[in-house]
Amino acid sequence: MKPRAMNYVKPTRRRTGTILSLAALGLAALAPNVLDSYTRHVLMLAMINIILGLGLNFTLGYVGQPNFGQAALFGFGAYTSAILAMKMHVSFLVSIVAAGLVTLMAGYVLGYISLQLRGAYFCMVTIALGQALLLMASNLLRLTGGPMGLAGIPGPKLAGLLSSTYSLWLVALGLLALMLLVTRLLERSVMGRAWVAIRESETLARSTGVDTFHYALLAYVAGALFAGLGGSLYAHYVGFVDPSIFAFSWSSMSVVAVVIGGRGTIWGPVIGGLLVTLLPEYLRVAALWRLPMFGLVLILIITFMPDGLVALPRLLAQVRSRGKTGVALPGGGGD
Amino acid sequence: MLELTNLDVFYGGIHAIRAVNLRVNEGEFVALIGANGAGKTTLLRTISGLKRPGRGSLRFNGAELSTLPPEKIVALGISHCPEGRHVWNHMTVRENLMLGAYARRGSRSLPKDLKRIYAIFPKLEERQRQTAGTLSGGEQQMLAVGRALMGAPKLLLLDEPSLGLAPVVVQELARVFSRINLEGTSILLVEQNATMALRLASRTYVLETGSVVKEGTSADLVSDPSIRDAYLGGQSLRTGAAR
Amino acid sequence: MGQLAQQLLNGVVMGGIYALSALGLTMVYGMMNIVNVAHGELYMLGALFTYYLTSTLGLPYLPSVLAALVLVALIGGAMERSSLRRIRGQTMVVTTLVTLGWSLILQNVSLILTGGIPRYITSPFPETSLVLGGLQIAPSRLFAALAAGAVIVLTHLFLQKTVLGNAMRASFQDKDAASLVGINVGLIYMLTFALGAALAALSGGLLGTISYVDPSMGAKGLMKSFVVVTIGGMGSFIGAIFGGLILGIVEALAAAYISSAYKDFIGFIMVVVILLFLPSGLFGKRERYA
Ligand SMILES: Nc1ncnc2c1ncn2[C@@H]1O[C@H](COP(=O)(O)OP(=O)(O)OP(=O)(O)O)[C@@H](O)[C@H]1O
Ligand SMILES: [Mg+2]
Repeated sequence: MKPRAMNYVKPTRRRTGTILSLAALGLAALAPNVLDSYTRHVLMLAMINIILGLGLNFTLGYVGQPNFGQAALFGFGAYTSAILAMKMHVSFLVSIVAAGLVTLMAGYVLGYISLQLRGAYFCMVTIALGQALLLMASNLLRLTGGPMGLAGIPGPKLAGLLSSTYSLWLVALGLLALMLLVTRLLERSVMGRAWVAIRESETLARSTGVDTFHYALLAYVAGALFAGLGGSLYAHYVGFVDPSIFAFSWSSMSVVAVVIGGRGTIWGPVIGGLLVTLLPEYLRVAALWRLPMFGLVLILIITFMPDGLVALPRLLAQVRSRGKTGVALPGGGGD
Repeated sequence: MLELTNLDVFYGGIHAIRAVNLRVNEGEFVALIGANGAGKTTLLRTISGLKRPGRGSLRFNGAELSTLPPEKIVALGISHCPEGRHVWNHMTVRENLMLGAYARRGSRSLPKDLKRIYAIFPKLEERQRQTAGTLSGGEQQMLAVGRALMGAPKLLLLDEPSLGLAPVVVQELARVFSRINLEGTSILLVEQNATMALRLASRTYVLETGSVVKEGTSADLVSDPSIRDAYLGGQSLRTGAAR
Repeated sequence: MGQLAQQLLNGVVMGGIYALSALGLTMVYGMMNIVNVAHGELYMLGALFTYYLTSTLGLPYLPSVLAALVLVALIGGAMERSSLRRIRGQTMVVTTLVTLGWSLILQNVSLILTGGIPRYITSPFPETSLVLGGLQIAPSRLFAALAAGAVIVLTHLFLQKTVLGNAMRASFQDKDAASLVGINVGLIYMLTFALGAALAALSGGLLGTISYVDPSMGAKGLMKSFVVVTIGGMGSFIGAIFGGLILGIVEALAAAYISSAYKDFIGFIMVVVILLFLPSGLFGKRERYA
């Protein structure tokens, strides 16, 4: 992947950008009033997937390590909220904040363990930790309800007026906006640059004095916070959690989202999260065949656009400029 | 035997080889010299099929090489000993050599050919069970040459075999090349060590930024003042340093 | 004491089978640097094809396993040729996701075509256990374990001693050098992946007589193989053998003396603990920091 240039943005353009963003946010906040319940449901799930992807993007995209264990943190957040809300009857606000903080701490521990390793071994440990949590959730009957899971998690009622789903929509939207902002800030901070340095060459980064473990751990922990909040949202929205939330398929779907969207970019997880949620839904017309078709689409996108869909405009521009100069550059192929 | 006509090679927009004409006759020893980045390696990689040419033709004993994949070109009798050795570090010396004969696997003469390589490079026989990664640089170069010879080539392409080696080892390799050539193998030798190249080869081409700027018998080129200045200027320095 | 010995024997037998089921995975990783998530599905297909060949076509067991192996090798070859080839040299995340796409396709197509019903391959061996010095062992398990051992040794010899095996190793160590001695590197890539698929299929065909066969068995098989390969060291043959044996024995003992509910749990904890002390498993080459 190419390092992206830190574009200087003209102040006026930046101001219109802010205004546009705020307008979009306002529209999104009002959207549930005009959307049918199915579309609203799908978009809500998409927001949760995007939140999950934004969190994963720190280790996977910026630091460049194959993290296939994001579901461990997502599940941690979901179970924390489920247990707090059902067994201790805490309010939604307490539940989600606690889920975020508890997952952040869990992330510190899990990250500390798994980041001792890199590459394929890191990948394996992240998978193993997810599986270990899955089995624990299935067996700690008293706390987690075992394989049956916990059902009947209450949703919030914001200001006592809005419905639970609308409240969750607003919370999800707010968190999402905040997370995008945080990602942008981190990306441009010393930390973001350290992450990219690790991705390009960890040895080199270390030799120039970057404490690579420390920064990688911070990426993991930031991801844990996002995942914990997302998990809590999910638990309160769906009202039900069971051990399958820790499954490899959740983790891998999130990796898919980040990669087909575009690793190490802000909009990558957004595009990817929308796609992995909407695509299987729209493929539903193909009923039975939607999952194989999804697999096929996944292979095609990754094979032909390993940098993700955010790179599409650049690819198109390349194709167009080649078309304009007439003959393609001679030679080329070979190795 | 080998004839390149009007050959152009590109890397994207970089024009690395420009309208090169070059031939190697049956049994001939030809050298190609030129500065860093002149395009020597590119030329050899194009001959052996690792790189596709943009335009022009490469004929070897009547066959057109430009569209053949490397394995077919090897089968025609061209062995390429690449720049930087490229031995298989995790495999033993013997395995490296035996794979050199991959294109004629199953041939009865392999044990005999292996003996011949060991006779040329006794060091390799001593180390035959060692993995190639544990050899010294010079030994690895011998292995790379030995591996190319195991292909029993009609034409041997050598890319900077003297690079980074002590003068004694260079001398030893030079003797081996002459001998192989006398035994009937044609050689195209790429070198920066112009002294060595001009001494060994009967004809020499000089490549500059992708174009052949001079060609002729090595004797003529040695006495050419411009060649002297550009490529043999370091001669006295080099021998001086060796002492 | 007798019970302990019996558990150890069970563990060793199961361990041999685990080792075989992980062999294709470790070979494809060690040579091609691909973490093949579809390995479990290839293993499932080996079992499924064996089932249909024996039950629907009525072929004898061993020829069915071999035919299943060939079919799955063809699928593996097709996977490589159509997609994996295009992303060679990309980061591990990319290659892993392409195999994940394949795993989705293979698993769900199998599910659609066969339904999710668990099936059993009729074992050609007698049901009654053999008794050896007071220890019991089912003939089908004994056969599977012995076959696993033989296949592991044969695969190792193939890679180390044959010209084709050496050509494979050479192609992945230095592709250009391999081309220059006349190796058709593209073909080798395809053959290597097909071989990994064939090994997965073989373990599926052998295991299918011991446990049930259904389209979702691949996911579980994959996780077991991950554990084996990670404990032993990714890419290492000896590692796969030891990893398999360790997992088999520990699981047998855990099931007997702790609780069978935590049997699977222990494997994953072992992965985490072993990697903390031996960052590249028991026999793996040290994973360099990227
Ligand atoms: N893979 C490549 N992509 C782009 N440009 C390349 C590539 N390989 C070589 N070049 C360019 O082609 C030109 C010729 O390179 P080549 O390696 O053939 O030179 P050379 O004569 O062998 O040099 P040296 O003596 O240093 O080995 C150089 O300008 C080089 O930068
Ligand atoms: Mg060169």
